Amino acid sequence: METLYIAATPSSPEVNFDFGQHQLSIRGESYPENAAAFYGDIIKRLREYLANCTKTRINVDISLAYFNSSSTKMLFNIFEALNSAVDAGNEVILNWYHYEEDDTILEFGQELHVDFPEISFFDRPVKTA
Amino acid sequence: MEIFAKYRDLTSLPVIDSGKPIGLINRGIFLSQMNKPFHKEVYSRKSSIAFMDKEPLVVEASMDIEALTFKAVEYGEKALGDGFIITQGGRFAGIGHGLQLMRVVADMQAARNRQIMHSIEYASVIQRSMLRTSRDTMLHTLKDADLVWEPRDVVGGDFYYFVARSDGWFGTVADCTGHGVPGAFMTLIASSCLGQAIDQHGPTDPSLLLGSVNRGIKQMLGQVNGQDETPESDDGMDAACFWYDASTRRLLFAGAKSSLFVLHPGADGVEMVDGDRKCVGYVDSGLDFTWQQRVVQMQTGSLVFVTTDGLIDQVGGPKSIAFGKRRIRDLILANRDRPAHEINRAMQAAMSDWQGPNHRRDDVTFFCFRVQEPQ
Repeated sequence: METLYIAATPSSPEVNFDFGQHQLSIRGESYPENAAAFYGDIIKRLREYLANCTKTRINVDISLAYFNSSSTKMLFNIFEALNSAVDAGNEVILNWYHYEEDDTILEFGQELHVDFPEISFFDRPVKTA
Repeated sequence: MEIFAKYRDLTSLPVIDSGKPIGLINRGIFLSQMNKPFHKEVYSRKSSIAFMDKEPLVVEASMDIEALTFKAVEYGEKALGDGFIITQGGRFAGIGHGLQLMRVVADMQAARNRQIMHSIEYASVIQRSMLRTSRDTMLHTLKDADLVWEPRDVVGGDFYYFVARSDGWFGTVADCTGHGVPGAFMTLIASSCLGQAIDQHGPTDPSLLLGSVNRGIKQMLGQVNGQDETPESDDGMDAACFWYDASTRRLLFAGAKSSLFVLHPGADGVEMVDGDRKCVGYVDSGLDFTWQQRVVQMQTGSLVFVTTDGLIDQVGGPKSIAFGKRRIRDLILANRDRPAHEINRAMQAAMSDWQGPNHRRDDVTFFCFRVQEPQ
């Protein structure tokens, strides 16, 4: 499957889904005016990819400094799809990156961990110089 | 040559053959060619065709400005610098210049912006009118309280609601999905659902009221679980909903993705009273979901602070990260003896410092009050 790449803008993150390498990443900030429109196609492509995955180890790197509530809803749809992919026999590794002192993003990651227990969650605090 | 000498502002000269445009002569190119040795002698009596651009941009007068702008940009610098030929039914009608086009586009843009802004400014009058009764109620009922409501754009997705009775008062601070115009639409829906729920059930049971608003939003936006795989709307709100019982000094609180910051007199730190993590409305919130009622026993002098996520999540500081709850707790603690309005001013200043050159990410609403001696 072809890689899905969307460059970052000030209000939307960089999306780099390298389906061939089973390496998916989202980084930046997310508060587009219409989150459903921004994430609609991304989620569709992800679901198509996951439907064809069997016994695959999928790496997901998320590094988001800010996301608004409508983006949160969309991120949950992404994690739901990944969570189901584990039930279908795949392995999903989620690396959750945030600055060490960013409690808000840390807390959100902890909640994700509780809500999507099938995903192997790794909290990755980033130390700052 | 005489024409260019006579009309110093003329940047280009169209060439027409029996009514039809066949080219455009650029002043700069023409004059620099003619000024080369012997060119004047050789060419001055010749036809102007020798120096003309044979493929200028030619457009029909009926083309609209937007299409013309895209066409001119696509054509490149030539069309903007030399100008372009306008025809009517294929016959030469005139010449247009890049600068004129820019001016027209800028004017159109400004007119459109003005129209949209006027519309939003009027929407803001309506939104503020809707909130005014609640704000007046809050100011008249509470001796030491303050409310900050700052939409990111002119209108926003945050709202509040206050009702006073002789035995206590009801308050809500809510954050609907989105901001700007769609957010403001949501505040009207959510606020009228809440108003209806209060009319029906009274203001003393926040948990019941959140449940009722949840059903109201879902019905109004057609998000009834399981009946439609792809509903149009997946919108709702986060909310802190509370009833303060004046005689017992108990605060009943039901929260949807929001928390109360409570500081009792003499306490070492700010206590967090967390609501449920489930939002009100939205497709995935069950029609019969019940938000838990939490009871907080207040004392005379207890401080309560509640905010939408616009304050907590505002990006800023040296590493461009969220403001966070810890800074809010620290600031309340450091200002615990000051009146609520001073605490809120300090909060606004701290947020503004944190935000620095970053832009505001979301609407911001926060409310602070101090529990009074029962009357």
